[in-house]
Formats: sequence, C-alpha cells, structure tokens
Amino acid sequence: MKKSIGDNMIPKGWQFERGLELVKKAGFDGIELWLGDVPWFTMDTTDAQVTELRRKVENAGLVVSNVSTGLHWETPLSSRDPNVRAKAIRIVEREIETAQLTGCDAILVVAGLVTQEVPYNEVYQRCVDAMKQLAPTAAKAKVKIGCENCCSEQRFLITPREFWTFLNEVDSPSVGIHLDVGNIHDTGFAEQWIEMHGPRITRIHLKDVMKKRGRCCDTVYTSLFIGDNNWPAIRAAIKKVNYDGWLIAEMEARYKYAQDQQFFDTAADIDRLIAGTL
Amino acid sequence: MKLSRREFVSTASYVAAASLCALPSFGITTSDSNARSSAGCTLLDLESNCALPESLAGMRAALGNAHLRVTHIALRSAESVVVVPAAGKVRAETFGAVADSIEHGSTVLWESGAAFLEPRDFAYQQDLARDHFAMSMETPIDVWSHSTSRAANVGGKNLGARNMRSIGHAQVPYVVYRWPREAHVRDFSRVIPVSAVNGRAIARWGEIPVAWRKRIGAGTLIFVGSPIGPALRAGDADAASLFCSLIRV
Repeated sequence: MKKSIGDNMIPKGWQFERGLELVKKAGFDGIELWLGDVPWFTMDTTDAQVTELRRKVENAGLVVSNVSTGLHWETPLSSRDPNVRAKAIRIVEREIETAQLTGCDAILVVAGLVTQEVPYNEVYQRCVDAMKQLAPTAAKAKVKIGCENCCSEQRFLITPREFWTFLNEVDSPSVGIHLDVGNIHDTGFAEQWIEMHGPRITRIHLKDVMKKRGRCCDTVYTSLFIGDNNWPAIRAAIKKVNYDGWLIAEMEARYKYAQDQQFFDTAADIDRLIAGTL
Repeated sequence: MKLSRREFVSTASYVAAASLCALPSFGITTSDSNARSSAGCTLLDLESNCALPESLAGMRAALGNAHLRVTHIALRSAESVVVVPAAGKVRAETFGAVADSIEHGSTVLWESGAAFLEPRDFAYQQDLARDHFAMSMETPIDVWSHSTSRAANVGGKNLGARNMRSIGHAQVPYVVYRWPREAHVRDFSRVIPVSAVNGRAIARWGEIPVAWRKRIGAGTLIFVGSPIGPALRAGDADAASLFCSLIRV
C-alpha cells in the first residue's frame, strides 16, 4: 500500500511546489489533486496547465494518486434542475480527463445530496442514471469512478448494504466506492464497509472520528488514533479483502499551529497502520 | 352474486384504469402519429424539447404497455388521451397541433417543464400557451427559497455538515390536488402559477393555482405547472394514483 495526502491540505498561501516539497519530505508517496478546491487546479485550468502540474509532482518525486472534487456539494448530480445536473456531469468528465492527463486511474465523486427539498428516492434514481451515463466514459479512459460514502453529510447511501445495492444497480466495473473510514461516524463500522465492498474499493480516505458526539465542539473528525475508529480491525479488513492500493489522508481537523508538522505526524501514523504496529 | 349497475360500471372503470397504470413497461414507439393508439393513451415525446427526461421516463413507467409513444401530433387528429411530459422549449407548431387535437375531442394532460428555462425562453412559452391554449403562465416561484435547508447546501463539505445539524423543520410545501381526487404531491422546486378565463384550478400550492382544467372545443386541457413525472420515477404511490386518475377522466 502507498500513502497520499490531498493538495487541499497544503497551508493557505503556499505555492504548489512548496507544498509538494513538504509532502515528499514528510514521507508520502503521492498527492491527491482536488479539482476546484485549490487555486492551481480549477475547472478553468487548461490541459497544458494540468500537464505542468503533473510535471511538478513528478519532479518532486511523487505521483498523483487520484483526482477528487468537492464541487458537487454545490452542483450536485442529483439536482432537480437539469442545468445544474449538466454542469455536474461536466465536472465528472473533467475529473476523468485530468486523471488521464496526470497519469492516475481513479477519481472521487460525491454522488447525490439528499435535502429537505430533494428527497431520497429522487436522488437515488438520478445518481444511478448519472453513473450509468458516465461509466462508459470512465471505462474508455481506464479511470474508475469512486463514489465517496459521505453518509450523514449527504444523508444518502448511509449503510453499506444500501451502497452495495446502489453499485449493483449501476452495474459497471468502472464505478466503485471511494471508501472513507471516518465518514461512517456512529452509523456503522468502517471495517464492515471494507469487508462488504472489497474489490469495489477504488481508494481509501483516512481520518479518525469521534463517534460519541457531544463531547467535542463542532467537528467530529480528528487525527488518526485519537478517535473511535478501530484501527486494528480496519487494517485486518484491508488485508482480508487484499486491498493494496492508495491510503489517502483527508485530515479535516487541521492543526491550528505548526501545520507542516501535521504532514509528518499523519505520514508516520499511516506507516504504523500499513506496518500493523498499532 | 348480484351486482348493481353502479357497482359493475365502477369496477369496470377501475380495471380499465388499473390496466393503464399497473403493468410492466414496454411502450410502443413510433413517429407516425396517425397510428391510432390501441392501448388507450398517446405519449407525446418532445425529445430535445422535453425539459425533464426523467418525467418522460416516469410517465412511461406509470403507463406500462398501455400507451403509444409518438414524437409529433398530426393536425385534426383526435386521440383519446394525450400526455405531454415536461414541455420545455416547445415549438409553435407543436402547440398548434396539440390545441387542434383538443379542439377535435382529445383530452390532453400537458405537464409544463418550463420553470427551468432561461427567462427569455420562458417568456416565449408564456406567449405560446396564451395564444394556443388561452392559458396564463406566471413567473415560476422558487418554492424553497426561504427554507433553512438552502443554507446547508452551500459551502464545502465540513461547513455543510455543521449547517445541516441546524436545519429547521420547514413544512414540506406539497402541491394539493382536489380533482380528480385529493392528493398531496411533492413540489418540484419551482411551481408555475397558472390560470385561464374559463375552467377551474385543480391543484394549488398554498393559495396559488398551479394546475388547471378547461374545455377547448370538443376536448379538455389539463395543464400542470408543477411536474408530476419525477415523482412517478421516484416511486411515489400517491402521485401514481393521481396520474392514473387524471388520464382516466
């Protein structure tokens, strides 16, 4: 297994190259590029500029682990407005294009957002339709679409069985799950999600989570090994399903000070997880 | 067992309606509108001018095999029932053909998908509806614009999560049908207030009429300003029952 971290973790105000240097020095093997979340990678970034990003990544001794985006929180694939859905599809297509340009074979998509306005059943159908529409494009590009389990935040596909059923209905080897072990919160157990989804896992996002909410303030997320995830069980499940891909740190709880130190600490934590010295 | 005439007619009507709405879907597709529908209902597929393809899909599924799908309506044709899903940027010729069909005795269920059009395109559809159907369509109302849920959709993942915990419990603004049966159907985010000089409102969002029924010549127009098709696609049983009732009358 290899470890990666998002370029959206690079401290604000830093240039991309400086951030890459830190990522490499901290011990990571790769970088996750966040389309629309960082100034150097937006929907307006040209192919030539994306190729240049890849060059910088490789010059730093890293590779691009995957392309992700948070743009679907505001432009969901499940919107009732067909114009918004068309934009959402375009975002995924751009992710696929830039994944090819940067030499990686997976993207992350937040498929679907249930709200009071847009109910679950509508969201479900639209997401199945969208994934079926995008699957051939992904297959042709040899890129896998990983739908992320944002669970409580999306209020969609909250249980592993729902997610399994959803992927069955999409029915494409090019669409799987980008499994986040922290997003499950107190609705389940990450190791069970891993066991159930096995070969459909495209990438794994790492974070820890305080399952007993109410003890902490605003955020439920925290650094690895501090929260309530059962890390030995998670590691055992990863081994059981023979997952040997990327482990990507998505540290939503950021250090308030010495932000560069978080990179070193997180990389070291992931090394312990990979080695099984927990 | 003795049946009264009333019981027999009622049962027969129910069976006919059930046959329109409950069977697995394998509708017949043709571009020849002169082919009479032997199955009871004609579905006008506006193709690229259908604003919500999911509405078309929902209605096709609800109709099962009891419909004929066409892409245009011939002048002076009189179909029994015509359903027009999610009318978007509809051409004047299509409006004319449908109006003519109603004049000659058809019942047309016209579902407007115009609420998602650009203002200029919507204005043109307003003109066409007025000119061909004598129907007034007002500017679409964004039903959820004051809902606290909107605030939760803005921003990044973590911010959204924090906001979502503070969502209030805004009343779901159902569209309430009073004819042909009482039904509550979810709005589709934007509703088009509709009215006409003759006929009557059959559904309201609050106090605002959003569906109308009127006679045109020998036929009837049922104009729906808040789409039902997406609810059909999503499996809403109440919407399905309402839809069957609308095309049965």
